[in-house]
Amino acid sequence: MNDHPPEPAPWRRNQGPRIWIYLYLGVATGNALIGLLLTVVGFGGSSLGRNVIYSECIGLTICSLIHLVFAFTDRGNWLRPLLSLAAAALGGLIGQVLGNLITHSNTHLLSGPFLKTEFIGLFFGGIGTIGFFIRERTWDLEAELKAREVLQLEAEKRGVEAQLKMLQAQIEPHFLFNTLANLAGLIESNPKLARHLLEALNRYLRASLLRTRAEGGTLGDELDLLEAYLEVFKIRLGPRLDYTISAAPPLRALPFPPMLLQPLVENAIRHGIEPQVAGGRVRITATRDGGALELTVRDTGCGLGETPGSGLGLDNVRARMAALFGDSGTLEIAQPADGGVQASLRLPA
Amino acid sequence: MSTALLADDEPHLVTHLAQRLARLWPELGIVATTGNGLEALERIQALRPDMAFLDIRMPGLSGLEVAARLTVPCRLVFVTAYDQFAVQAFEREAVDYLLKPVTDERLGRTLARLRGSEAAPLPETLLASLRDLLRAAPGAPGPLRWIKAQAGQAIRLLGVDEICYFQASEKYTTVVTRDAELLIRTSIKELAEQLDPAQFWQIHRSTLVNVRQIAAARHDAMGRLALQLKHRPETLPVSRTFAHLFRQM
Repeated sequence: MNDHPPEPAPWRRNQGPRIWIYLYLGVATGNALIGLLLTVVGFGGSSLGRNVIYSECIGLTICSLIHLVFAFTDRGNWLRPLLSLAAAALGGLIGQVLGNLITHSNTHLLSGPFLKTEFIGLFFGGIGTIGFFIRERTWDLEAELKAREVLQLEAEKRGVEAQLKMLQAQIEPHFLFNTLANLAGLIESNPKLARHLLEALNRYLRASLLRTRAEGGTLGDELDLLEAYLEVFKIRLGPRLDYTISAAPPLRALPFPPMLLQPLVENAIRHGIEPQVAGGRVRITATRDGGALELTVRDTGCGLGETPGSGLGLDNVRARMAALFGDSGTLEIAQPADGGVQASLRLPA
Repeated sequence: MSTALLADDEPHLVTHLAQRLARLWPELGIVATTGNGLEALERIQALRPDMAFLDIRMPGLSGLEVAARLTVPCRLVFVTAYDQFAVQAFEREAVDYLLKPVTDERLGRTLARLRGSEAAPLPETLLASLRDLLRAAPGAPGPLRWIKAQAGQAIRLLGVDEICYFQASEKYTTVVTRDAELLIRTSIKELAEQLDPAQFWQIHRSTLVNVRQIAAARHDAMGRLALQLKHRPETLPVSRTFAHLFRQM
């Protein structure tokens, strides 16, 4: 539904007969009341029967003509009110001719009574036009509300999917098996470093499992998790990786969704540092700017490939940002002039 | 005496493999160890070892690319942590491979096979399909999902969902998002071919619009069709050729 442009004016849409029956029954009732009122005030000295017949003829004609005008002009068209008034005038004329035919009378067109009736027709035609405008606005608002609900449901759905993917991604097999291979090697050759690696891996796994299962959590938790992750890579890649994480203590206490920053760091390693023979640096910084928390992951790796596309996990980050923060969260990826990639998350804080 | 080269971008893994080879096959001479594919290729060509243990994911060249470019005979053993498609292909073609973490038992079996066997080039078809598999592994190739655009000194990566529309202008194409306009060199025609046609509709020779960003399609008093956007004030004209896209359902 979301992929199609919005529908045309509802006046032309097939919405089942009921709504039109109500509309015209309502108008007919109104006409009868007008006829009664005119008789009470003694308009033209006619009988109640004649007045009601004329009212119905004129009112129903005017209503049908205005209906046509609304069906075949678009919202916001400046001709609409003018056409509606013209329809009321024309409806008054046709209605009177019809009335003459039904009652076998012969009110002269352009005579005094005719013009008076015409004036009354224009008056109620104007009220009818306003009624049509109001009805249309209500329909538009209802449609907008519905569209917004659909959008929100979709965002929620994507949020849940993204969460699922995040759960699957947290222990990426390459990461796990390569780290285990390093551990197996280091246990013999450098038990001290092996213990250090095991501790970092343990911290990362424990934190990511806890973080994804528990509600809440702070930026500090996320940064600790990333510190453990980067430490694992630091040991594995040796001199090819350097990293820094800087965040002021008050920022670390801010609430932060679990594993939202992790994919950006994973990309920096996997697509920035690892493919580069000389390796590079990863820098994570947290800053607060007014009401926004900005997190930047900057690497000095090999930059964006020729065909950045799927597989970066960024769609997933974006979907989670949209589900969590709507329009007030943004993800920006840039390739700075001096190389590497800079990914920035901005979220309300 | 047999000779071998080891290549893996993680230094501890190279060291560890070297130690285990020394234990399991003491006569094997390790002529070089390296951490990237380019150097691995160059060393194999220069030193002509009898065998090479190649990590699949390495900077410079992948292990598979090294294999494809070799012009000297060398018995190859691929080492991988988790490339299940590659592993299936290795199994099928009886190519030697090791899974990280490598167990002594598995390494022993591989070495037994390597002893006294002749080096034979890998079938070209296998290498080609493996390269494709590895390139495609993270996600099948699909429509373009990201647009790279110059923004000042930096290049910004824009998710296609962020983009409201593309507009051709002389030499360049303007990428219009909710709050920015950036220039790229890719033409509307090329973009139309690469983007998801269900999400981006061409509405004019020079305009490609994100369907999700359309608020309404309207006829003006002259009967021309124009699009209103959700997050942009301007309207986009729809040429007659593409007006059928907005006919009523």
